[in-house]
Amino acid sequence: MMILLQRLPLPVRHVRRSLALPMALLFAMGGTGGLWAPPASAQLPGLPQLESEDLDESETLAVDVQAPTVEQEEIDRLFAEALSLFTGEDRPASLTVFGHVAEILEAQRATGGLEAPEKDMLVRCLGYRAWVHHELEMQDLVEPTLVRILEVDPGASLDLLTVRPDFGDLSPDPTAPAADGGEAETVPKKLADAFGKLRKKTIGEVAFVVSPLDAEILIDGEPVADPASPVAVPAGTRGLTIRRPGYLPVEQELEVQAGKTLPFELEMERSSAILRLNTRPKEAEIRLDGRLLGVTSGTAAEGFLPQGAAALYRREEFSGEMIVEDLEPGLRILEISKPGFRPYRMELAIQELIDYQMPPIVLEAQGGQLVFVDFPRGADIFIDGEKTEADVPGVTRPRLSLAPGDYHVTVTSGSTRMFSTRLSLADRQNVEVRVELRPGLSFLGVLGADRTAARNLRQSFGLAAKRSSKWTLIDRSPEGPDVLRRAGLDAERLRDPGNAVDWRAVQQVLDRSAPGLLYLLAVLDNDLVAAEATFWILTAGPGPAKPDRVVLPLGNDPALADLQSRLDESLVLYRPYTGIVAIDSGATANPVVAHLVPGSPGETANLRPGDEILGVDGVTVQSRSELEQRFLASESGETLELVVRRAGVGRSERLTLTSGPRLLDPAEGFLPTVAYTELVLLEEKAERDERWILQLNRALLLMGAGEHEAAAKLLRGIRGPQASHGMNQGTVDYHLGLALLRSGRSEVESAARQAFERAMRLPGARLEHGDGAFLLPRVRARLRELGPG
Amino acid sequence: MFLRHRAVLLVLLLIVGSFRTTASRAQDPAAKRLFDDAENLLSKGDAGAALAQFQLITRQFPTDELTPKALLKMARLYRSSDESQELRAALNKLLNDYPRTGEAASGFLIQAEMKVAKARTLSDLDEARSVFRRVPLLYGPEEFPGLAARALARIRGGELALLAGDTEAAEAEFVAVVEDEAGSPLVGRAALLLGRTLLQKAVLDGSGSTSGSMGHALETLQTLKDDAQASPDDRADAANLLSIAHRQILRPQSGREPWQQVLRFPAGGAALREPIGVAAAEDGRVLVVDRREGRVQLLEASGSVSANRNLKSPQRPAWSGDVALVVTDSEIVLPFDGRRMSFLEPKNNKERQLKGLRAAVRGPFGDWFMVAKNWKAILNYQTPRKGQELSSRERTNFDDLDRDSAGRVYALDGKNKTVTRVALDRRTQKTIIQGGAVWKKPTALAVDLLGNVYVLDRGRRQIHHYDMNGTLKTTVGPVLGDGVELRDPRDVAVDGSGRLFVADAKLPFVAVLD
Repeated sequence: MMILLQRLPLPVRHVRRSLALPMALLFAMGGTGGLWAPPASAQLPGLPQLESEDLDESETLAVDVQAPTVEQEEIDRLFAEALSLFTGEDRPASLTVFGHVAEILEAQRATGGLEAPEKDMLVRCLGYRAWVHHELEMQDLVEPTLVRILEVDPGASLDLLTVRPDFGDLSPDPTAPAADGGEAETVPKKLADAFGKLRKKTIGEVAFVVSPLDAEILIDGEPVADPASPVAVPAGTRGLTIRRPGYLPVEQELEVQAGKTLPFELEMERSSAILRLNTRPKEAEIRLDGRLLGVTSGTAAEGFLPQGAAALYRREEFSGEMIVEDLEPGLRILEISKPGFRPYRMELAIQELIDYQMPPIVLEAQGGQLVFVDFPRGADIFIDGEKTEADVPGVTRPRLSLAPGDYHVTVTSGSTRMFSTRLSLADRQNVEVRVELRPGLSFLGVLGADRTAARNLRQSFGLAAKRSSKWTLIDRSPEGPDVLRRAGLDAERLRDPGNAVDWRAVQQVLDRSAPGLLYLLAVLDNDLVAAEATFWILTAGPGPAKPDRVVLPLGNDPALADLQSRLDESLVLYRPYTGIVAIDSGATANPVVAHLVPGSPGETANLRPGDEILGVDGVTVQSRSELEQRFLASESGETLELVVRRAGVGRSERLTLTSGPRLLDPAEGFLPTVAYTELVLLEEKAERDERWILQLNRALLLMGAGEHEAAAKLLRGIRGPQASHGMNQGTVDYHLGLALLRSGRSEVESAARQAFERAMRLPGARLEHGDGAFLLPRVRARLRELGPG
Repeated sequence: MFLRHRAVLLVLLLIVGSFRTTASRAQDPAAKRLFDDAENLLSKGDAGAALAQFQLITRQFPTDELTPKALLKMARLYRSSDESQELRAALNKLLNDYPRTGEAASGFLIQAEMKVAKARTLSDLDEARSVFRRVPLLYGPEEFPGLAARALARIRGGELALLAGDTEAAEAEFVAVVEDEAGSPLVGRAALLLGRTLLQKAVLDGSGSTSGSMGHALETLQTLKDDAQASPDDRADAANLLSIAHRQILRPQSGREPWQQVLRFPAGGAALREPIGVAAAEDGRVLVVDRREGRVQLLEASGSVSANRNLKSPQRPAWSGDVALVVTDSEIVLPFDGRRMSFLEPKNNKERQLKGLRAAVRGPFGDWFMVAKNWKAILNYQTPRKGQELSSRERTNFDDLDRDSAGRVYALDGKNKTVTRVALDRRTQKTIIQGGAVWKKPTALAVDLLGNVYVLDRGRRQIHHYDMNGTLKTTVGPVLGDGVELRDPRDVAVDGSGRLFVADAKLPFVAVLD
């Protein structure tokens, strides 16, 4: 039903719509304006009065009139109130309320029909109103109401209206049989007679005998509730429809005479077999021979589940019965499917034209399993950002069942290590996820008010960081600037190189508010139109409180990729060791062996001081530098063929390289903050005998950052090898002495001297690597500088 | 090498300018304008006007951050114009009123260099050294990171320590620069000095290459040679030291002669007529005196001729650092820029021009050592007018002179067949070689960077090669190899890489033992 409403000014539009119901009702009552004319005082609470000035005639709006959205509870309450009035002192007062309930129910009937209880309620509302009008001797209003009762329910009986004279609060329905057997008040006889006469004049009956018994019978489109009993029908020509799945439907007219019963017998003709089925879950698609028949819906009826299945499933999880009709004999393919569930398919052998009942169909959810390998103890799993528990938590290879699909799987350990991968999981698939926790690179965002530049840089850096082979990007850009502000940092401050920043304090704030291993933030060069950004890279405390700075032009992806590759750069902590000191001499075109460390690969290869090395593995070498490059390009354990000239005579010697630790050389261009962090990470996994070189390198990075006291503390705890040559404890002690000296504290001078004296006891110690600078002259020089103790 | 690097260091001293000031001082725009103006005047050569501007700054803006810079500029200007009183006043003001500035550190450097310039004794040098020492002690890296004056002071202090024979102190200074002054352009220089000191010490100790000491030295020098960041001069010097170590230590140790071939200089050029003198610079350039032609030839290290000059009666050539010299009968001539110096000698209570010069060498303090036909002693001239006779036990005529890298002077006495070494104090003389019957008629000598002494024996047509302790190591000649035989050798020289040059009056070339 459509009616035209004028558009209201916005503030009262809602109100206008609320009033659509009573207006529509009056319209639906089809000119029975006298049936109920609400008095001015009967305005329902909560509904503002519609004023004519609310209307704006310039606009109209088409609105579907819907059944009132009054809750059933409210209808029941109104009905109870009306009954209370009816059975109380002021029976006429009930008219208004019964009228209101009737109005609501009529509207519902007009839009979608009424269920039996509501239909009874409507009949009773109308009946009580007729009763009151009858008592008020307003006969002109009684008859139309009785006519309306029979229109609503030709089989209606005024017995429904019987009430008890007084009822307590315990029994809200005064029409219910009184427990104490008190006398009930029935409809006034005159009124009952009038109704009986009217009924006799206008209503007949039809007695149906139809096979099958569950066939649906409709008269004038209204379903017959109980065809086993004679059905009251308004006299006249009525349209009869009888239908039942699997049978040919019957449609014909019936001539019903008032006051008479018309017998009707029918045996329906079978036309096909049918199949009844219910699915779990609901809303599964049903296909027969590939043709979509529909989707299951509703909820299964009470008692649907067999006893065994009831222990496993809940009835509410099953759909209502779906009937597959028009099944011809033969082999049919039934397919039931629903996304996320494994499809159900079966062959049906239809042999007879009968009803077939499928047992409850349970679709199995699709799914696969993630199996986590090398899962760190206590780590957390996040699926698409949501923390998820493994099927069985706490085991070393936890499993997680998931529906098929694409997932972003993240495993975190603490707030500083992370593993992240994207994967696709198919049904019945087990995917092994090898967890390799990567350190987190905490990106604290872009500082600077040029939002476009900041956004672009954030995105570009995010993309570049995703390609990292070493780090997992932890995007803290949303909260990063606030955290930095707490540490006293903002774009303005960082742009001015004259501003001294207490980076140790910054580290402490970050440690509390955004714990991580390595932090990175970008600062735009200006707030209006930024052209470049400075990336600040800072290790977490207690690492060096001295950030690295990298300035990049904006919009330059290669530069960003270069920064990323510097972040990814691996540290080279070992190199081939030969024990050969070779020199270049203007007196010859080839490098000359100047010195050999006793027991070294060079000595073992039978080299001698003065030997000129002409070539390595067939390649001519003309300088010490070329010779070293050949060695560095070789692997530890590799044997090289050296062609040497000794006393003017050529000969060949075989040199087998070994490997030795080395110190990182700042000239290599690595970012000290990144290197420090990597050393910390390597140390966690390192064997005991490898730790010293990691720690020594770490101490040197601290010294490079000017943190000599911290370096000295670290160096004091390092236990290097006591080897007679190469890098050893002497190297450690020498750097300890240097760190103490450079700490600027005079009280540690004697400790520095002791460290140098210890270093003197290992005269073969080298500085940067096994073939690096000899330490002894330096140690001697340092001791000389310190003077006697 | 010493003089060449000394010149470089002085230049560095002058250009050290960007010092950090610790006390925070304001900068007055007016002072800045005056300072810029003064700089501008300086660049145009108007030092007097510049000086006036700098003085104005010091008077008008005593608290300005440019004032110590102005004082330093003034001190340098006074020094270059030899105005010692004004220089002292400017320095005193700088050091007293602005002691905690980088400019004050440079002031100490100037003060120390003034002392070096005036030093005549080892204790003078010690005094200068103590001033250099103040710079690292007062201006440490924590408070003054990257202070160029500190590195320079250490290097100069180390060099003075070397002259004083305190090699350990020198090493300490050089190591401190190498390790604590990373980024300074002087690191290479310090590494070179460290390597050289270690090498000389290893040689002095008699350490062969199997010893760690020699390894330390050669490894240090090689690292410098390979360091692309170091200056070309430092790297070249390191290469020379490596080469000489190869020739003089490694080759003999493996049973080979120090020299493996004989080259003929000038390479592929015109023949010499009567070469009687030869001198080699550390970098391998050679100066040859051809008496018949009255000509001095300058050869590149490769042997190609780069310059010629005709002179009247040229005797022996020599090098003073990078400067080529030729000794004539009465003068020291700089053949390629025309300057010449003559010296006075006492004669009957009068002074007259010194004549009969045989050889001359520049001393470590800028003084001159000479031998002359009429003098039975080594002459030492502080200035051309002020000289002295170095006393010795035995008065004798000396034939030739040379100097080692430590500043000691070696004199050849052909008649007595000895080599005498004069210590840095000019007083101590020691006969380190006695040729005896081995020598027949020694006429020339040369000393290399490692202290090896080469004595040319004209009578035997040989070169006797002694180590720094005076022990005969080898004798070469008369046949040198490669078809070269000495016929009338007159002079010998050695370059920084240990190549030996022999001028033979009867050969049309200089024989180069390579």
